[in-house]
Amino acid sequence: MAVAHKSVISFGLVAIPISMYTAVQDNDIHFNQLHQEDKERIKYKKICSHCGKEITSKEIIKGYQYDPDHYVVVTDDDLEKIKTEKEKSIQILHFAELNQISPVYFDKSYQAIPEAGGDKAFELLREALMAQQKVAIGKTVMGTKETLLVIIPREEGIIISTMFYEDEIKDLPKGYNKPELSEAELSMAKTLINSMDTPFNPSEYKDEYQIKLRELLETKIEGKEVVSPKEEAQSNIINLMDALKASIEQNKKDTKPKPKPKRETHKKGA
Amino acid sequence: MDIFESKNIKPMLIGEMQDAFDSPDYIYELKLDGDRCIAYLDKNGTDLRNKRNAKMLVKVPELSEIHKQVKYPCILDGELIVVKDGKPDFSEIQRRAITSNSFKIKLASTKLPATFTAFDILYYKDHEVIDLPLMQRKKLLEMTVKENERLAVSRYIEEQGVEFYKLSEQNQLEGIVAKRKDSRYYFDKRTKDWIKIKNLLDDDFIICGYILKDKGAASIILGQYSNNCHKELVYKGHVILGMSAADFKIIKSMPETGMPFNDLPSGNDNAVWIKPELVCTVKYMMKTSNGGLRQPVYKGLRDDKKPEDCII
Repeated sequence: MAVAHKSVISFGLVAIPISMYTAVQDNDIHFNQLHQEDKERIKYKKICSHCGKEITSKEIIKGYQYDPDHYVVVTDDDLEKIKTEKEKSIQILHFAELNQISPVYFDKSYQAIPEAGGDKAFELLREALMAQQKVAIGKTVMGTKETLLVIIPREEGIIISTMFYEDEIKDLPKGYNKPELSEAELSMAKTLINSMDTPFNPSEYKDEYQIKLRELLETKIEGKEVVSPKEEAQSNIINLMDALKASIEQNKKDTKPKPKPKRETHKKGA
Repeated sequence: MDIFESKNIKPMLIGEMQDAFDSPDYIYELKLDGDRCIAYLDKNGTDLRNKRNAKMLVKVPELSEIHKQVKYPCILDGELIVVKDGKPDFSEIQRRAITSNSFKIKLASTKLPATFTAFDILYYKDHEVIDLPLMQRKKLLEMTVKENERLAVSRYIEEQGVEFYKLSEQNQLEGIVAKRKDSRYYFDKRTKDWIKIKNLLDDDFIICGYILKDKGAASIILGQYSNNCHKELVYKGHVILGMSAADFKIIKSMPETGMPFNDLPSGNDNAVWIKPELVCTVKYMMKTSNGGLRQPVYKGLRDDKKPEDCII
């Protein structure tokens, strides 16, 4: 699994080098676009809207459209220059409680693993956060964006989740009435909730559509593979190793008639 | 902590390469073209870790039952391989290692299932056995493991290294390894007690960029770090790769950057330079006098080696 981001958590005087790995993976089935006639892949070509020439990636630069027909060009160097060393590390700003953060703020989650030399400080941070039941709020630069983060301790390690800024969260699209509720109605609803209260167990939930889609594909693929001989799958490394060993031993027997001790006495005699 | 509990073994590595030889002090085994892994097996389950200590069982779920093939808790050292057309196929196991979609892994695991071939035992019942001489570890390994399709024990030949090497060559296998019979196991050490004997050489390089060619091919630009305190990237030539290859998509998706070398020969005018973070293995016949690769063949990306460990 490739490292998504490398950073350093700076916490007071301590710097903890870490690698961040993406915490989720996409198991969905994705289709490719094929040309109906010959079943070959559809390709995308990048073409300049002005001259019509096909453009390779090294001819492409970044621009910002500030007017319908006007762009300012921004180079990677420009972007690199406005980053500072400080921003490349994860600065812990303060500590808070997890339930103070509305779930709407969470974006992507990563699993953090300490890099060489960071094990002790990493474990110290995790244990202390667990004991205090706190999370750390921090900031860093990822890509070109200054990102808000929350560092969440778990039994098995540390999860770092990127967060949206307040101005990225939309207001309710429209208001709705909140009618008065009677005590009886509320207590009935509460009873219903309590009667259906079981712990959340993520392994119980599966995407049923994806399961059916996989089954469909497996049958279609198997249907195709019947054509090719299946014996190939029988080849086994044990058979190969045994066969090689046996052929060495066979050769050994064949050459054995010349008794070894005799040759040795010859040498000594010579 | 007990090494079974902490699960962060760094395996012993081969430290020598030479021509085939016969010696009564050595045993000879096939060098299987796969992914080196350590298997931690006990009644609770199977845990497979590669050289970088990444958990490999998610990539090879068909091996999740191999702990049932051992009599006692044990740690085995071996090679994770996929056999295709009767031979270990490196590109298949590498492809598996870089796949994460669970459906693609499932399809691959039924079509070309992987095998763990154990060649050493490092822990038995409740204690380390690395101080035992190799031949005693081999005996212990054979006693502990009951082979099946997914878990094999590496076969070895005594004394006849030359003959065995010839046979491996005839069967177009990667080569053989000679191991001293009385040798001990040292974690994280390159040992001269293990000697590889191979026809083709290979080495790992950092992918620094690529040049698009006609007919859907690309030249991959290779580099390695110099072995001095400056650790600068040194240009090591090209290897051809098909643009349709899955690996090329990964290479192409790397962020672009500036030319990383101090010294660049001609023929690199149309290069696209990428962040030097991908490692690939390249086979070659021999090195040219100026250090270039003769007849290089791209073998695949590898996930278990850091770029900074690709040193000249």
